[in-house]
Amino acid sequence: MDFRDSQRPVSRHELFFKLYGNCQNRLYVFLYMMVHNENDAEDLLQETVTSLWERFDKFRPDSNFTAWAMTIARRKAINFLKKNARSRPHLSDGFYQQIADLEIEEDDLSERAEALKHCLQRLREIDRRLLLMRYERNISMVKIAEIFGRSTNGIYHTMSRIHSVLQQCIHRLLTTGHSG
Amino acid sequence: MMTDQEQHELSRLILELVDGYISDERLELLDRRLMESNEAMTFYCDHMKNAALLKRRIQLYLASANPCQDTRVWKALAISEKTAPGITLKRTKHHSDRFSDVVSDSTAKTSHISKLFLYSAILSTAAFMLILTYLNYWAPPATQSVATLVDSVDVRWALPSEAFNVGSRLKNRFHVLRLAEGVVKVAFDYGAEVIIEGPAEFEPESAEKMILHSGRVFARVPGYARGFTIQTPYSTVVDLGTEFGVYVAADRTAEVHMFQGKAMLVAGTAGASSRHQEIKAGQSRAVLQSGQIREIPTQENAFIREIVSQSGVLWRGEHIDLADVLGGGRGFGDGLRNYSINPDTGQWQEGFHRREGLSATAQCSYVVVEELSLIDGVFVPDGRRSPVVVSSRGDVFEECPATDGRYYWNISNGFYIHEGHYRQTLGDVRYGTEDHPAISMHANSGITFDLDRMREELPAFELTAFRSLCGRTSINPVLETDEPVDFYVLVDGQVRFHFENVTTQDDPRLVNVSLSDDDRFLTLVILSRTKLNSRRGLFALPEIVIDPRD
Repeated sequence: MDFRDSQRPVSRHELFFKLYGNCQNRLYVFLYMMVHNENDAEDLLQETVTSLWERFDKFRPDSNFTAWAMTIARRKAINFLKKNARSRPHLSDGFYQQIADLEIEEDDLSERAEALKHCLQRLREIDRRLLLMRYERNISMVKIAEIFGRSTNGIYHTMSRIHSVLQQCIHRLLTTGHSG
Repeated sequence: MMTDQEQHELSRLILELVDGYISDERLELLDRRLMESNEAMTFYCDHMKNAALLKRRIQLYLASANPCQDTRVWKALAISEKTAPGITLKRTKHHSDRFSDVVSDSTAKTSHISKLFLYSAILSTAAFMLILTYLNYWAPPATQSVATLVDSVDVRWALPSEAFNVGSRLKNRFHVLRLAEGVVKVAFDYGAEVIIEGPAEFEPESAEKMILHSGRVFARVPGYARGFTIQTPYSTVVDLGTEFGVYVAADRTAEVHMFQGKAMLVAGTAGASSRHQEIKAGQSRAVLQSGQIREIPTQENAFIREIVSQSGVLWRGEHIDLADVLGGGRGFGDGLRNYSINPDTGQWQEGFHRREGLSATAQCSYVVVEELSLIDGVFVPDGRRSPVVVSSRGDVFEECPATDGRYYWNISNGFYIHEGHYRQTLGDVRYGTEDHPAISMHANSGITFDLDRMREELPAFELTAFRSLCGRTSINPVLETDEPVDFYVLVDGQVRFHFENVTTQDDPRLVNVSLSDDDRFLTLVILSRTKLNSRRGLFALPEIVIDPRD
């Protein structure tokens, strides 16, 4: 149900969270691509939503909330990268500029999630388990290597292979409708 | 078009970048690839989108179970909460309960769930639902095995159909399991282990969640299983990497006791007005039916934290009390006080017993104690008669000083109290009691404990240290002179601690000897280098520190 169709008055809080809820996945994905680190992306998302709320009084209901939110997220990411350029791996400015100019569509994420679901089921159980440990459980690659009694290099090799296979499968599914 | 190998290599570079472990050379290589090829740039973006979707799956799943558990969203919004009106709940006073304080004040530690938060949680959850639907492949199917019963002690299930044995797989969405008596250890598939004490009613909900309707549960959650959840009728505990106990009483109120790490406590049923708190080690909370959270004292020994079915040990976080071992116990309070061992003969007997024929010297040979499995043997040390053997394996106390080879009293758990004569005190504390156990030793005597036997009885534990206080007991100045004694702690015959020329004027000293898996025998010695008088010493609160093995 669209809140604008409702007859009851909508509070400022409700409006904000409806709008924010619609775009926060895109904000996170964008920030993750920009700063290429999960924790930093989470922190920046936190800062972004705080700024959005603090400035929400100035937001015009007929304007594009997502575009406004992306502008703020972009600014925060660029400032973060400038401030921390020496203390973390830093790619060239041209790279960050290209990412900053990207448009991320909700439909793109939804379709990708659907494809991801399908392709994960095609992976071997052990490969699914590795992904789960790394991304759900937040276990470092070094720790995963310890758990499996393998070298860190070996686990990186395996994880790279899994990502490649997953990505090829998703790409096929999104472009041809078949995972092959 | 990129080959499989090129894609593989690019994935590897991206993973190294994300983890922050990339070298300067490889960072430069990655940058070059990305800037020179649109296809590589697209690959990077797709890789990161996939990772982000994988990463956020668990948060979405938690959010669907209870919006209040979406802590990341809550945290983000709580920052701006300062300006939002809160829903204030009345503070209630209880007159005679054990609760030390009401924690429902609007302090920094205890946040109200404001309207803002509720909207946040509910609406953001709603916004996630689309993707959640796509990702429902992770939602457990109707019934599947999610945990394994890995150990049990004296178990009786309420229904014969629930007679699970060690090795049984437990399914979710089955029905409420009723443990009438005994204790079980259950390992959930995602890594959390719980100890459930009967009587208890519970359900394994998924590989990372259980519902506790009543009873006591202790949870040990390794870092990689973070997020393990225990739901009770009026609260939910979400682990953040920790050890904690949950007790649900007959009236369905709950207590949460944190022993290590931290967890998020969400009070209230799903959909109702809720409040939450992060609880840290040493803190405990009660959740009432009203959803109020109250601070309560942590009960260190209120939960069984480990079980060893072979020996029937139910471990509540204690360490091995060596005085209890001397009393014939396993070190967990099942031994007998006022029992002693004759250091000359190795005989274990009730009572304290002074040595017959005081003027004669002892045999001064190592004697195995047959009756007590955790004690290897005893001896009367005298460096004049080397070698001074201190174990059945033949370990030798090379540095043992000369003594007169005599002793007065047996080595005892507890102490013969003859008011007006001796007081078993160190500082102001009287030892040798149930609350303050101690090993009382008279110069010259020694006792050796068998660490390997302890490991055999407790295979799930690591013996990490010997800890104790040691010092001279007070004396009756009419009968005794304050002659000094020496204290020694040996491991496999090697001196690991010594405290020499100790009189009643010296403050007691803390003994802390670390142990490794290779250490086999622990020996405690008290001796006197001068002519024998009544010289007692204490190893007070003597314990082997144990920790569950990972």
